[in-house]
Amino acid sequence: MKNSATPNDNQLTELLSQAKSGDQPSCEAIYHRFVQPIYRLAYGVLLDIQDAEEVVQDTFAYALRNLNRFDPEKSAFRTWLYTIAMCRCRNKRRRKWLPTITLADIAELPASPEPLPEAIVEAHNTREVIWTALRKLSPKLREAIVLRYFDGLSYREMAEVLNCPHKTAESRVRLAHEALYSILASQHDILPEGVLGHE
Amino acid sequence: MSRHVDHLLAAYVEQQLRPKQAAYVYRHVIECPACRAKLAQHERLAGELRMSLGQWPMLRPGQVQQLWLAASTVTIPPANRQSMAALLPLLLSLLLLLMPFTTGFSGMIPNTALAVTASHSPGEIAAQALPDMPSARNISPPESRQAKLTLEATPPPSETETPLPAKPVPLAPANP
Ligand SMILES: [Zn+2]
Repeated sequence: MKNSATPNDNQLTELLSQAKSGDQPSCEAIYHRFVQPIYRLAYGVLLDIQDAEEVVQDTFAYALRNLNRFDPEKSAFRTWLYTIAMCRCRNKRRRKWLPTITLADIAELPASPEPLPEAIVEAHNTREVIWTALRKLSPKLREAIVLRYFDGLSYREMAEVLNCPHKTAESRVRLAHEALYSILASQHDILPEGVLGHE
Repeated sequence: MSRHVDHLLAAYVEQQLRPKQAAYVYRHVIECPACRAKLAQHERLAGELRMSLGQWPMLRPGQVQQLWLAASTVTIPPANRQSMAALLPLLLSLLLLLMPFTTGFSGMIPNTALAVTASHSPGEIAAQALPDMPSARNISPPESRQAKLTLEATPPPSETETPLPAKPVPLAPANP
């Protein structure tokens, strides 16, 4: 399942080889390369900042200790990493009941010592409407749509991360898309301009 | 005009249709303003999803560093330390060879310099030399995240419990 190698791939291969022998700067470079997508993935699945941060930490702690288990003949490194992250997310979700969160709750995300990202405090913007709709999806559909859009994964890669057949990945994305479309269309009156608005 | 294609629009936008089906949808929306308007909305939704999920949320640089500290505390395999430890007997032997020249053969070799077994890592030596300075491995991750780790973290070598031998020990490694 190897893709054709790009300069980026070659650089990653080099980093991985050095990281396997315990080279800390290489481990750190790998971390910096993937930390933001892993965080987006974890937040999209879990919808909780602290849980997402813990998944980031656990994912890298595990992955960088177990680089020898990564087989480049079987998968791309990012897919392997996302699979670990998804597994961590699912474990976390299993241990925790996920309450339904309303639009009003978004302003009450866990207190952070640093200022909240501006996107959170900006009320009723497009992104907030999208995230509010995402929260209404079932975990499986949300996993699928997050995987589809957070880092441009192919359906084949998605199927690998979700551990399901290719067609299942496709149908979950389609169902999620249709559900989001319906949610947003039904809330048409509260949507800001630009999200499913009139032509 | 062919039949409306609303039911195919999500699959069309998500690139799941076979080329023939996709061409059918395309030909229909060219003719049908109602389906064309809906397709535009599906495409707008996909665009918003790409923006929302592909760019947000972002960890701030401080958080990125904090999480790295926390993850790497249990992450970095001790290969580097081991390779340094393997070199240690050689370095110490060299030091011992040179010591008579620097101390004028006084024989007053500081106990702490010799009370280092070959199995000790450089971090431990640093910790012994500078008892007030925390070694890199002793830095705790921020907040209480470390306690939440469910990983099978390898416990650090029990450097603090290892009593220093009273007498100098041979520097030859048991098993380099
Ligand atoms: Zn039509």
